[in-house]
Amino acid sequence: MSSSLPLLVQSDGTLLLDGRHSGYEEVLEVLRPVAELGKRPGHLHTYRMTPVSLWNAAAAGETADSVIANLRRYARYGLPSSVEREIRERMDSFGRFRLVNRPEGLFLSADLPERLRMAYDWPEVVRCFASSPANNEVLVAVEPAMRGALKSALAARGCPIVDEAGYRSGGALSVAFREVSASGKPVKLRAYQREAADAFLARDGIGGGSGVAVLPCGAGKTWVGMAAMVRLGCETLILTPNTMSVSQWIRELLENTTLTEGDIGEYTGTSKQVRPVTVATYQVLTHRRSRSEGYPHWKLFEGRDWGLIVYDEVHLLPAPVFRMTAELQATRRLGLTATLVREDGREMDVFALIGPKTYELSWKRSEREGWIAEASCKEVRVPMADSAIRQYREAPPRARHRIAGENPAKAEVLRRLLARHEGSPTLIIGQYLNQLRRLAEELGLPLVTGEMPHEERRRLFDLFNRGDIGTLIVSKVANFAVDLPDASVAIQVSGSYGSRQEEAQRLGRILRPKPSGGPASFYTLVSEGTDEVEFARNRGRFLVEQGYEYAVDAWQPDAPGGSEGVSV
Amino acid sequence: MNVRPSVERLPDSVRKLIATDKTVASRIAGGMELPDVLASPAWAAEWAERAELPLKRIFGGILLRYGAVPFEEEKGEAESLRDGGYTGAERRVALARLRRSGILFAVRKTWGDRLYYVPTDMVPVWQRLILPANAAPLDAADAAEVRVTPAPFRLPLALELLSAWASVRRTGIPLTAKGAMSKSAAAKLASAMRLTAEELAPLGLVYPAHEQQPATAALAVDLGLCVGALRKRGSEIVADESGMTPWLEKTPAEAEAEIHRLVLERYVSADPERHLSASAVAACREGFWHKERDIAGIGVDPAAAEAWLRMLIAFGWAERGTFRGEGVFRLLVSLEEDPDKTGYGDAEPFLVQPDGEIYVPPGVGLGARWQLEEISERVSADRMFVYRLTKSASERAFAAGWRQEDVVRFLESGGDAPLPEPVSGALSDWFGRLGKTRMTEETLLRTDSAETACRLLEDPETASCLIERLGDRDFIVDRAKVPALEARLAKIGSPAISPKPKSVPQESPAAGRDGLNEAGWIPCSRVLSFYEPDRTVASADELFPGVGEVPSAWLRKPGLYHASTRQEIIRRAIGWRAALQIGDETGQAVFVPHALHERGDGWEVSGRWRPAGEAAGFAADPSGPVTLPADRLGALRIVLPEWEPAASK
Repeated sequence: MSSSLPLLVQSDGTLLLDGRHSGYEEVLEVLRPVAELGKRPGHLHTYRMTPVSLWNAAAAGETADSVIANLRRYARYGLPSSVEREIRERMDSFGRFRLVNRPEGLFLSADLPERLRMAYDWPEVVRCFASSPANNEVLVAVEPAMRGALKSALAARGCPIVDEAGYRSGGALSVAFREVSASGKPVKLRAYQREAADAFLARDGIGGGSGVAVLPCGAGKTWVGMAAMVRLGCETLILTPNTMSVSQWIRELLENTTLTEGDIGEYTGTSKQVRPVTVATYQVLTHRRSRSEGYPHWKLFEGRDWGLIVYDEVHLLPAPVFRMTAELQATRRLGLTATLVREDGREMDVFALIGPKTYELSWKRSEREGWIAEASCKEVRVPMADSAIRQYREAPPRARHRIAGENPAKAEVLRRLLARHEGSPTLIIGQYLNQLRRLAEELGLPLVTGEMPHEERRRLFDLFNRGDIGTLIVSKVANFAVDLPDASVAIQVSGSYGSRQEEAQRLGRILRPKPSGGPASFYTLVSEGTDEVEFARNRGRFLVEQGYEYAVDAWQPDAPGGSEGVSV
Repeated sequence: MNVRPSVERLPDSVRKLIATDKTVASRIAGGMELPDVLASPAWAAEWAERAELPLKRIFGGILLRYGAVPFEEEKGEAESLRDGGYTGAERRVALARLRRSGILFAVRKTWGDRLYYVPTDMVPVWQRLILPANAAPLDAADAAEVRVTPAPFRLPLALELLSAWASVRRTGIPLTAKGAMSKSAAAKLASAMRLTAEELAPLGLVYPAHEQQPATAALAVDLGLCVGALRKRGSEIVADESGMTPWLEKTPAEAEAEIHRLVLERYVSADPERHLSASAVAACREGFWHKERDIAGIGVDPAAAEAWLRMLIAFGWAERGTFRGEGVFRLLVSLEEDPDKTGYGDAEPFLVQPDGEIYVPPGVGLGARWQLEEISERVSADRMFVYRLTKSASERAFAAGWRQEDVVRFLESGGDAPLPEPVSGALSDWFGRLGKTRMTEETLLRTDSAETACRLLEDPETASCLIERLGDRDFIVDRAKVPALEARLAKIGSPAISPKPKSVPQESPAAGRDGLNEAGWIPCSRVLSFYEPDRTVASADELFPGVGEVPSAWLRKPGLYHASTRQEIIRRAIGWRAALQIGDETGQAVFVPHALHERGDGWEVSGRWRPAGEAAGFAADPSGPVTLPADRLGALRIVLPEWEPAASK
């Protein structure tokens, strides 16, 4: 691997970049517009070129020739012809169809009459047209309500549409950033947050309108959304994965912008406020009583004259929301995410209906500039007592996971780790409430669960953020969007361990840069000799693939000198 | 047949004759053995430099028409006559001279007919000397203009085969009662390959049950048997770990070159034009674009050259493109070993990532790849192979005899770096569980009662053969001491009855290493080793029967003869398929007579005029067949070709 060029191009479009190579950063700049980071364990980082990533590149102004020339320049073993063909086909397909607004209405234009004729053979496309096709025409009228459906249908056929039909302004909203936050800190966008907002708004010279900003966990995606809102000055609907995230958005808006409580509505299972800025969950929007009924909360989309919709964690966007979004193509849309890779593979819908990637902040830059904390991940293997292991072996498979997760011996390890990190804000995260309650009782620590009223949760989080509480035990609800920026230690005592999303979310909680400048520590306690070990290995591999150091230590209860026996 | 076995089979008389050739004699005098000389490209180059143009042209024609395919003398002469180029006499003499030079070889069929052939492995050597392609690579500026023709990605064939053989190692291939591969196993093997049966179709491979089974599986097994990676064992084909060893010592580049050679010799040599095209392509410089028409320019049908290029793409050895509307190609791997390169340097290390994935760049040796196939799971086979260490792969490796320390040592050595901590930890977890229990077969001494057991223990000689007592009545016996124990038990009056040993399936010997005849799965089209080598090289009398009986003046210089003598001279020339030198009032010309026709009271001779000088031998005079009346013929001479080569004079 010491040869002169740093890039290896596989025939399926996978790109392997040698992180040790002196030209690494240079090639990274080449790859960022055209490929998505798959994983970055060790020295060899994996990027993938997909139809969507190539469309994103075309949307950003790259051409097939430039991409091919760049890849050839750095490819150690050349560029497979199949990859070159794929790049050309995908990138050349971008811009063949355009949506344009004319005084007579909305039109689809094609670069060639035969291209349009080809589209007439596709029923899912034809149903979006408002007029019958004519020979040798390169223009056909489109039903305005079918704008999104048409984009989605053509994208699925490999023909992405460039949407130049413009957007409505939405209701005006007077909003600006405060100079000093409500808690007295100066309010200032970081350079990359400003760049992300600029990229979203300035795209295609018509004031921007749709796109996705990709920023690593902990890099402050909320700020990009707020910046877009401030610049556009329009009523805004913000969609998030869960209620904790709703609370976080509202708190950030109140803390850093001139909006007041009266301007901001919370639209969740428990609150149905619709205000100039409304923060809702995907869950409430997709709620319905039965499968045969409609979605009662879709009316939120028409509840006000929204000028901007923000999709937080857009990689988690549920399928029904895509359908709603298809009908909202005249409204500006901003997607925020740490990854464009969706577990359900619907990246194409994100591209067609939310918009192309307009900005991406690399891990490398955010680490170099100190915007995310370094993290050390450690797995601690905790033996089970003989009786517990016997119980585990005799238990039916479904019960085993819980027995391993609730291994009582973990309490002692937890105690040692807390002692080791005394003074560092620490979160203890678990899946089983009984276990968490027992730990809370044994260790005398406050516990936050989903059953706890919001006010009480918020009070505890505030106490934690202020440093009045050093350690919090939190249940599974803590997975998503809990804003505990100063937490520097997280200890998982139980969990599903196999879920990559859960892992990323939990780790993301402690990645905000610390005032001390120190690294974050992420521990996972795993019962030795149980299936937890293999589950943990999967999650460990995921963390390694994300570029974190990951070590495994064995707990030695009888280690001399009172040491916990783990090199923490 | 290749040159070395051909030379080995030569009778002494022919060997001695060949050894008199100047180019050969000087090398033998320098200490070389005859097989080495006749396999040497340097010798061939010297011969080609010294040989007369007509001889080289006839040889070029033979190469173009037959390549390495055996041919009969008469057939060649008839074709020669039809073409109107060289005379049959010149051709017969050329064949004899090429044999005397050790270029052509001959066998005798059972009924006595002589079959000539150019040794298969020498066809590329002669193609480059006699029918050179003169294919200059495009320069960098032109190469930048080439548009690569998209094609599905294909692994270089040697790597494709290694993966296929690894899958045979895991599961074996059962053979049916009729000796064909099991249908499902063949299908499974084929599905593990990117190469498709459609891509192989132009080779027209014929093998057991070829109508039902994919050619890709047959190819993998055939070449596997040839290189010793696979062998037949009883009623299955299995991997041959010891036979594989020499193969695994090759670098990927050496392996590709060897596979290319085998492909040419086994599947391509039956088609002369494709064989020559392949040879011309293989001489092109790896990584540089060449024009396809330069390959066809050696004299083969452009379609043959194109068919071979398509095959090269399927084998992952080349890619095609267009340059200003013209077809071009470039080799992605070197198809021939470079004799000047002594080794290909150290194998490239692979990279073990902390997530347990192993990235294997193209320069990693076959040996390391073969071991990786055993200890890990292949994730993708691409330019960069990717493997993953897993729990189940570790169990498989353990079953194959790997211990944790072996795996660690191999990975650290092949990766040229210590293992990342998560990887060594995972291996430790996975291997740590293994080997704590195992199933073994032990030899048990069973007794009828505890009393008998106790009595046996009281006999020290018997007790020394027992390893462990199981319960009251049974013992595990030291297997090495079974005969001694049996003897002792018989002696003390308690003879034991031992079970019969299991029958072990008979193993067939490992495949032959010459890779050309009996070895392999796909039979070769013509097996010359069935025939006896020809023991004689044609003499002047055999070439021209009755030559000693004709007046020497007929052969020496043109003369005026009586009509009846003229007729006899012409009949002799026709019989020998020789040309006539005819001198009339306009000067002298060479005429190739075909037939003599009686016309009433006179006669006439039909034939062709032959161009003079450099053009001679390329083709007949373009004016076509002519008929000369007897009275048009002036002075005559029979033109017999030079029998003694210039180099030997």
